[in-house]
Amino acid sequence: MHPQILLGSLSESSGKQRESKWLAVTLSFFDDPGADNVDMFGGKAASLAKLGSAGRIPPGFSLSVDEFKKWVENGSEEMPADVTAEITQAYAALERICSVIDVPVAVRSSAVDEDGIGESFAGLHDTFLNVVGAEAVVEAVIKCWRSLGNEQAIEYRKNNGLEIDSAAMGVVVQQLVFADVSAVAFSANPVNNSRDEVLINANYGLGEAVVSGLTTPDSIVIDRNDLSQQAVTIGAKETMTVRTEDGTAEKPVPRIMQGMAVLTEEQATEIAELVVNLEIHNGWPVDVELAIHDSQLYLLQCRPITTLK
Amino acid sequence: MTAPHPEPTVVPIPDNFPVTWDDPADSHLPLMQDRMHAPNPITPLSGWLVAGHGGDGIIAGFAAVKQPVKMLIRRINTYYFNAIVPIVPPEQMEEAGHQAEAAMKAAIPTFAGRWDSEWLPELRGYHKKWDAFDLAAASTEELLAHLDWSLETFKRLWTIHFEVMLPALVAPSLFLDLYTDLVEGTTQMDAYKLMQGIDNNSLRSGDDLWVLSRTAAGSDEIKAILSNTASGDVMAALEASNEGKSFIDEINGYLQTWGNRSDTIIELGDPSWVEDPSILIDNLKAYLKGSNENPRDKWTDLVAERERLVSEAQELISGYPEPVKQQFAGMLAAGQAGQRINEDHNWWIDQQGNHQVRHVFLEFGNRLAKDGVILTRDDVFMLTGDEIIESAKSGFNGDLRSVVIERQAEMDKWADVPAPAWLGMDYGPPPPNPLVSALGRFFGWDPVPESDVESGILRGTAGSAGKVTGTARVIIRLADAGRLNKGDILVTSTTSPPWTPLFATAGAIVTDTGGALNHCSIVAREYEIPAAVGVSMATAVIKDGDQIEVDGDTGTVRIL
Repeated sequence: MHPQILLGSLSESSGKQRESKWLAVTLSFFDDPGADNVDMFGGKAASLAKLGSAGRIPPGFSLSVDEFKKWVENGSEEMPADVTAEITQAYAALERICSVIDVPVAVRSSAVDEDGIGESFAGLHDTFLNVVGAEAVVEAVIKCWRSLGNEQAIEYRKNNGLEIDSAAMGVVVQQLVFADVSAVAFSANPVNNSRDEVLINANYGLGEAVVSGLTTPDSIVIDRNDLSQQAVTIGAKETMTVRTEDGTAEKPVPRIMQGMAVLTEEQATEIAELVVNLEIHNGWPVDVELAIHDSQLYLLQCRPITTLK
Repeated sequence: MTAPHPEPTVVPIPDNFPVTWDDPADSHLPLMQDRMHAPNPITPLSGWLVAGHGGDGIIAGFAAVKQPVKMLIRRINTYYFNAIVPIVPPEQMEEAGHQAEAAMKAAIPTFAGRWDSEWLPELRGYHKKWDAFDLAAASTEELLAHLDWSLETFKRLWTIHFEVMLPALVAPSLFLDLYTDLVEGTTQMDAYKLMQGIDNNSLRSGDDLWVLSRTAAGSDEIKAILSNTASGDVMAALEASNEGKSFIDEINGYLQTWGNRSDTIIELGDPSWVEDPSILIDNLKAYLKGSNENPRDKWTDLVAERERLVSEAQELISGYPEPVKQQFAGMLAAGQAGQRINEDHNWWIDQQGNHQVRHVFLEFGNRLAKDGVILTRDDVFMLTGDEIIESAKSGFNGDLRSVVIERQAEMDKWADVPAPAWLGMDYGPPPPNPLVSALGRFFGWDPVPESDVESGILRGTAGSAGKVTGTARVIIRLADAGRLNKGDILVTSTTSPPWTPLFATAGAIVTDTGGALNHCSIVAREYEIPAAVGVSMATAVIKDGDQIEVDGDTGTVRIL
């Protein structure tokens, strides 16, 4: 059995002043104690909670694996009323934390067997970006739950010898940082397996175009010992992910910006420093997703590099 | 990686244009006859000045923006040629190209501010000094010193010219790319609409002329004189009339502000309007014949359309990454400033600079003619500056009359021989970069579909949108502009800013030369008349009086 976090005590400890009538619903903000519990919230949620101390992460909350299990056991397609109410209340708290009414969020699945060392589910489960309003968040959460059966994810589990039936799913709801620049950084170079090199890929816009490999980003190799730039390759950057009224869209990067370097040298150094520190903190080479908004570097995800030889 | 340099080929020299190279090395230059700036033969003095002090200034201007190329000017068989050549060896070109792009990137946000706060005051200072100098009262020694200063200043003018104009051309050119990339389904012609409705000196000089024409229209006496008197006799007729006398004061007021210009922008031999107001008179005549509608009445609509399109584009990209939004805002502002400065620099540098130096040389002409070195004052334009200085230093001694006759004969000989578009060596198309792209859009280098002369279809570049049918008036010299009636289509080699008042009379413009980023297209867009530019055979094929249809959206002309 997983320990349940009682929201009444949570709101005191986290200062989020939430009150809940449905004490049985397990929901936790990233900086709440216990939010880093993988079994309770899934791998992604737990790693976000752990990241808090390493860098600035956009605030958000996680819905526990138990809620998913209860929903599966009930056999209903609909969202239970108590979960809806709890998400609605947590979303209102997030609006206050971010000081943004109708704060746009990303809603992502957080499977228990995902993001473990050795396997990376990067991008296999559905992700909903630019979700606005409590009602839309609830809708996105239930879509995430349904996505556990997503064909690609089933295939991935099969190929990696993971059980399909036992898979459990938490959900992460996080403020969507409208990234001006998105980057993926590796504390060891997965291309040549060098442990002395940091590799950064960067593009304009939200992270999808970089993470999904839709487009060729800029690529920067940095010496992890002295943080000097070893090689800068300006990528073709065919497309970028931009925000639209009802989500995101892939748009061509204007030609005159395709030839420009996305990151300044200072930004690249800052990112390299961060990923090296994260590797030291975790004890394993890291694969990190980052966003820059309003000159502020945000840490979005941190996973082990699963392909390193 | 640099592409292997294509093997240069010798450009065949036409039989009717045999070239004797002053310097054999010139035969290796990629020389373009710049018909847009000087379609007609230029005098020896103009060639001496523009290739020498002007050319030195141009090279310094390219260097100021760290471009790895220079522009050389040559006068060949009396025609004006230029050549853009690299200043670094091929193996260093790639690195130099990166530095050039970085320098251009730095210049784009700053050139407009520097023009307004730095270069324009500097230029005003030079013109003030020129205006204040009493040429007639100067001793030979003082006059020579003034010439020396004038030539150095002319060089400086051309350094400023290119330091400001290279970014002022690249910025609007980059904006065209940016806008058409961001807003799906738009063309360059659409993108220009976001850079329209920007006031400039070409437009202001036209406005003031319009005001002058309204005074004339309000007086039956003045109207009768302007309508019934030959241009050359108008000033005398006005002098003899009561209302005409006060109108002369107004004309002089206009000339004081806008008279330091002539027909062309390279030639020193053309009189400025202050010396010969007949071009101004012709324009007034045309304005009186035309409608009573101020050609700029609708101009505020252009401003409103521009602002609407800017807002729409900003709305469209509101969810885009900040760097894209910044790029849009920055390039739009720089592009708009570039369009303005494209006109204003010409007034302060090309036109007034020529006017000032012309007047210094005219004083030498007076003294050379007085001492019999040449026959008449204007023969001075058949000499080189070196010859003038040498004679002046010797107390205006010597006899250059036969030299003048010889060179005048040469001018006459070549006047009827069309110059080839290219001479020297062909090095293949230049590597693609923002400057090459901007220059291509300025000069009209981009290939256009072939014309079908037999069917009367001529093709060029879209310069200003709209479709119009009218009577073609083939006008090569501004002095001939009196033939243009309201609604006629002006067909010419090139238009320089002094031609601007004609845009209020013309129904459309067709030019042999130029691209959508040059003066003619900019001003046609501001006057909302269609323009097809760079229609290379226009003046050769279109006959005066032909009915033609101009499609400014495609750059196509149909002879009906």
